[in-house]
Amino acid sequence: MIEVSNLSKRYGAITAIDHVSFKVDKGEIIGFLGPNGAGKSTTMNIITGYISATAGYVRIDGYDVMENPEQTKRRIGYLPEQPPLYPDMTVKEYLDFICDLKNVRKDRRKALEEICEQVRIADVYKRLIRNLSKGYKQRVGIAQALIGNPDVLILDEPTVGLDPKQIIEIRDLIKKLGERRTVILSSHILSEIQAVCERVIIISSGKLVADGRAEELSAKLSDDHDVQIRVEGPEEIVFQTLSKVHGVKSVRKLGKREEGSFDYLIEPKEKTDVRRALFNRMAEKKYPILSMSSNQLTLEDVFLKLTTGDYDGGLSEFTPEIPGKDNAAEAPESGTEAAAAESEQEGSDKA
Amino acid sequence: MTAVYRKELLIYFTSPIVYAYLLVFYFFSGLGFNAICIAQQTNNLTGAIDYMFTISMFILPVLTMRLFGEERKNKTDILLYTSPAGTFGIVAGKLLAAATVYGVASAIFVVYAFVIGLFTAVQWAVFFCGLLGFLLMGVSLIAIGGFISVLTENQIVAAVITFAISLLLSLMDYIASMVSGIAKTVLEYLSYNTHFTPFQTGQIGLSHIIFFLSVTGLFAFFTARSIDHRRFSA
Repeated sequence: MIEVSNLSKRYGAITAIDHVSFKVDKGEIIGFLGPNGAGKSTTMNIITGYISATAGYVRIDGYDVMENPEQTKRRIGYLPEQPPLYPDMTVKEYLDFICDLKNVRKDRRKALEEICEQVRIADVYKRLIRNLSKGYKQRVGIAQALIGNPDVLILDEPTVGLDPKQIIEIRDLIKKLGERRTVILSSHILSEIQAVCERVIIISSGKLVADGRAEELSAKLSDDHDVQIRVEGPEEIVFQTLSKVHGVKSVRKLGKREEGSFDYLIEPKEKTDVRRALFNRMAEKKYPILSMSSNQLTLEDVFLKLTTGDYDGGLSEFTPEIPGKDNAAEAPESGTEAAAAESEQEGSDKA
Repeated sequence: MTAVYRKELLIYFTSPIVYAYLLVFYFFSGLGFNAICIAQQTNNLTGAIDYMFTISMFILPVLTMRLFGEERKNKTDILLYTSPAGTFGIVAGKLLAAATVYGVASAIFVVYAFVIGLFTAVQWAVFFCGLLGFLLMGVSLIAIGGFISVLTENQIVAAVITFAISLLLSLMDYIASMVSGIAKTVLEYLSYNTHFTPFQTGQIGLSHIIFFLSVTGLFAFFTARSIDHRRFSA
């Protein structure tokens, strides 16, 4: 459906994207992930035909974006990073204009009604866009992308700046839209990608660093089965006991986190799962385990590992390209943001 | 093209700038009509049209200053250029919309002609010839102004540069008088007065029509090329 091959874009000396290739099949929802400034928007702008690439090509349904722009543009609905809205128009005027622009004539009213219902903007249909809240503006932007019933939806950070409730609404909407369409969704918020997408593509400093299902990625990258454990009891004795459990390679003390108990990080011998042995041993000794978690990488860890460059797992030969553009500094920031968004989501889920 | 044209008109007529433009245009044309036609008791409107030629140089940049720059600033240009409409269609739609507003303003002369018609016979042929020259001149200035607004996102800068160019084009006669030889010929040819004045005496010169249409076409082409260059230069 979408074929991106060896795509590069240079602005003078700066390489915005560097030989990015991937394919998206019909009906897939893929998450396009990367820290700010990684080249997500540039890639999307090229796929939609807004700007050209320095090298490489993009094909939609077999049509080259540069050679057959009319064919490809008809198939794509695009929501850029900043929704392209005219503040002095009403929602109705705006959507009518988009219909004109995309040559939608047949059953226009019915199509518009359906879209408005889908993205829930019917109640602001006659209001000026400038007076709408950010969430509504975003939804009008999505409505715009849906006009003409395109097979491909490209959404550049559709949930930025929305409150948690709106974020969940937009996510659900995207999931629903993805049932019948191919969707590329960019974000630097991991929980979002995890919640919506089947497949994840990670780019960093313009290079593709990972491509696969979220679980696959984390499984590939978590090479060990480290276990973090919290046990009630005197630190030194518990430490000694833990060290002697069968399959344990080493134990590291993590200190006191809760009154009367201590945390330990246990590294098992290669490819052994020591959780049961730990449980049995501690139960025997009557040192209750208060918590135990295996250190499987979350998508967030994968992301940080890949984009900060301390990963050598062989998915690619990652080297930060642009000096002075420190993605190590950027990535943790987006990581915390992701964590915040995640906890926010949990909060409103409970509510 | 029609989609962009209709959108531009909608935006024009929901923005105060166009009403200010029309107000100023109607005010000064009324003043000119009064001072030139009524006071001198002539049935020839071309004097008033000639006078508005100068005023238009000052106020036309207001119509074109936001034409392309604002879309780029607000990032709404992405919408246009990722739609099936081609670059040239978009440029044509925008210039036509500006030309329509200009036409609405110019239509006031027809009202004045009817006012004259209440008292005496109007020289309709001369009048429409003058109006044609006025419209062609304005449309070519709109194309120049549109091109300038592609070059800068800043509306004030666009307006000032367009104004400076209009002024230069109308002063070209004066500059031509300072030089001689081939430079003089070229500058005289480029002068808007050279091509505008014959219309006001009731002459429809094909070469003058072609001059204004060429300027319009050339700058519309520059505009489209400049947009494509920005998008597609690697």
